[in-house]
Amino acid sequence: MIPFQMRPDEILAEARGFNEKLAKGVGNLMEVGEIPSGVTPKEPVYKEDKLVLYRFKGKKPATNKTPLLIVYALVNRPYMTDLQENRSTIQGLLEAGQDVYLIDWGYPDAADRYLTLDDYINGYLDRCIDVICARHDIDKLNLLGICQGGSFSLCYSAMHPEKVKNLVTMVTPVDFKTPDNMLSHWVQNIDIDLLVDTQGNIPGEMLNWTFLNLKPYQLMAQKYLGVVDLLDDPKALKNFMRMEKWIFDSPDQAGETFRQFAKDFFQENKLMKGEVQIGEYTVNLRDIKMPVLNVYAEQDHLVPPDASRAMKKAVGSRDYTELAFPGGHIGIYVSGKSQKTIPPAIGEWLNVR
Amino acid sequence: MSKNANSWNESLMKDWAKTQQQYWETWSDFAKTAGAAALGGNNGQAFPANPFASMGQFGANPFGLNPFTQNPFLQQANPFANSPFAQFGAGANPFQGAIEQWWSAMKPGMPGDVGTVAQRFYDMGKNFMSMAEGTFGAAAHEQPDAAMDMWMTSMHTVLEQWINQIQNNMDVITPDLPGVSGTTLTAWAQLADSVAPWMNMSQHFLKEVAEGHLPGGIEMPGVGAAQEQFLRALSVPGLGYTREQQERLQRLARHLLSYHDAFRGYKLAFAKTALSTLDAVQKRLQEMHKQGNKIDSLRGLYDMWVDASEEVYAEFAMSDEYQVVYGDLVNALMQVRKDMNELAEHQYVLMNIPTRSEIDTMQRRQQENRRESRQLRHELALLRAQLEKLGSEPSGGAARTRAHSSAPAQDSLPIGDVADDLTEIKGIGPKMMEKLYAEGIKNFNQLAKVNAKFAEQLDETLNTQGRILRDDWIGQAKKLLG
Repeated sequence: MIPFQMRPDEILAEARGFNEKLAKGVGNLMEVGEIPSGVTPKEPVYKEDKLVLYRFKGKKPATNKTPLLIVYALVNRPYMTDLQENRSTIQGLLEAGQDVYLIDWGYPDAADRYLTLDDYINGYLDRCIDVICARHDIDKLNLLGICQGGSFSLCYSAMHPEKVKNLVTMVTPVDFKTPDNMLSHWVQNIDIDLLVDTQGNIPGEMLNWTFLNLKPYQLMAQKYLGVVDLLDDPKALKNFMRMEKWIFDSPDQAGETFRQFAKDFFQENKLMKGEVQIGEYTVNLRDIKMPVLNVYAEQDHLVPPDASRAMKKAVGSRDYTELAFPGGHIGIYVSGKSQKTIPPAIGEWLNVR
Repeated sequence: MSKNANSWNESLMKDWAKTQQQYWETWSDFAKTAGAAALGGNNGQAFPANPFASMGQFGANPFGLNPFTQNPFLQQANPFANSPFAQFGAGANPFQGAIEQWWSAMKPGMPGDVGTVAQRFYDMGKNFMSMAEGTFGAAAHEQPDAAMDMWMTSMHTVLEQWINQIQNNMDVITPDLPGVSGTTLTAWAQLADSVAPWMNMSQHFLKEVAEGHLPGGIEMPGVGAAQEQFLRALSVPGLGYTREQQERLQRLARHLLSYHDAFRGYKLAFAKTALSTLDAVQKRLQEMHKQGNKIDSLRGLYDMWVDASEEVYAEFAMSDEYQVVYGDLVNALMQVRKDMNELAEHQYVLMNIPTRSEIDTMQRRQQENRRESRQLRHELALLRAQLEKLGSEPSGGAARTRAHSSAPAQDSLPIGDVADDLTEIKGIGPKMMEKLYAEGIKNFNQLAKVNAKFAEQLDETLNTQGRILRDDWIGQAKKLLG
């Protein structure tokens, strides 16, 4: 027998309550207005093609003389780190005394199809680093890579160790073939060459669909039921819409870069094997000797903790620190809990090095 | 359940209908606002009219299309059973159809972010309300426990029928489970549409073939036979000067069939998972019953349902089967699109219009040029900066500009077995140190003795693109020696 014990009038009342909230609230969606992409003041300091290098303005001058460059993933947009007041990793880092720069990769179009990992890492990223080093008259800076941007930062630090003083990685995959990696599991039977040869760039929608399907019932349905209760609170609704905007803001992926990343990293796990070839370099993570801080999320459904923790044995650094956050892949940037702990911890770690 | 449970009566039913009406009016009002906003406040008149307007106060049950709401008890007592819409036949509810059509027409008028999000609310609400209706029907019955069981059983039956339909290539619609729906399948269909917009058309064609209607009016009895016959026809080699085009078309048709099969495989796997989900939900409910717990809200039921769905889905998504059906689906779609690209390309050539592959070639070459020119410009800038720096240093400047002198490269360096950590020199990393070791330069003393010509040669051998001079490795080595 089924233990669902509600009277019809109770069901009716709940359904009606749901309706009323939806009726009152859904119109508010139209009132939300413009949602900014990031809240902290910043100025562009370098531009190249679609890339913009920004420097953020803190409320007080940075105490750490070594600037910190944030390298975000190519999937989704970097304003995840600066979504709203009091929920901004960037602001947290500024408050922790860092001089924060960030690369916005922009939205690749068909003409960017032949951008390779070499172009992104030994080209764009390397030149951004030169620009920052020249501005500050230094040889090395601090690098903070996020997710795929973390993998990029690892590659960069292995290829150009002379330019990286300290390396911080957040929710960064290193071992792409841990048994709990759903994304990797799905990719294994995909003909990546056929995909890229046919599509050119990989549409953002396609990635978006893939990410939502990691937890489809929560992400495409249940979440919205929870929000019905917030619809009449303009502030809460706006904050909800900030996140929604970010989730659906998925740039297309430059075809050749996607090809190499999907095949070498996801399908063949070459980063772990020391076999990734980028331009003239073979990436060996053992060449990473500078201090490394690896921050991962314990409930990460995109980059499982084990995928990230594999870094410990892979890098050649003797000064390796792990920082676990009790939350998810996104929560690590936007939750109130992380706001209080993660950026200050990163700042402190950097300041003493 | 209590004695209140048998209070199924006219007034409750009316209340329920009112609730439904209210629900759809919510969306109607929202869309009006959205339309007005999109058109700059002219009341949204250019948008399709509210489909409810012509349907009277109590229209047909908008949830009627959902097979799970075909609760036998609800049907029995459903005052709409004799509604004028009954003539449209079971399942073909014009009310829901109108809503869907009107919604899809409305959506493009909304600002991007809002449209997408509103769509999610719309889908979620539809599911939630359909679940509410199912449970309401059961709860209002004289024997609510039995009615709930029946409700579950009827869902089971519908899913089994669906699986059977997919297996026989006869499935038409994707049934929804309360609270969760065929979300992933619907989302895939939308994605496939956006990646390959002509897919809908071809799906119709495939359905025809699958049902035994071959092109040219040939009727084949039996589903498998028709497909086989068609495939055989597609394998006949093309002849004559249109041979290539004919082959391209045959290839496309074959790949369309493959896609159809792959999608069927994917759907089938999903349908089976839906069945497991239903079992998981029932198991959870029974478990709760045993332990004396109960669910006392729709929200509670919905959350439990989502939980169970996600759990079953996660297991499925990590299975070998999923890896295969998912990969096959994506690959089959790409193959079809590739064939379409080739067909289009051929037409463009005939019309003397530039093709995608020509543009690809140009873009690839352009990217190679850009890569090279960026690198050169960058190096030039660094060299300039270095030169300026040298110009401002009276001593040493002259010495280093002699780097391009014609003096011979030295043929020997001081012999030394001591290996220094050359990475102490700015610009030398572990990899470069290895390379230098390989060239016989193992310590600062040796490096300090390298002359300009040899430095140039080293630069070429090690492919350091001027860094030896630019970063002044030799000067640095001298300094380190003290």
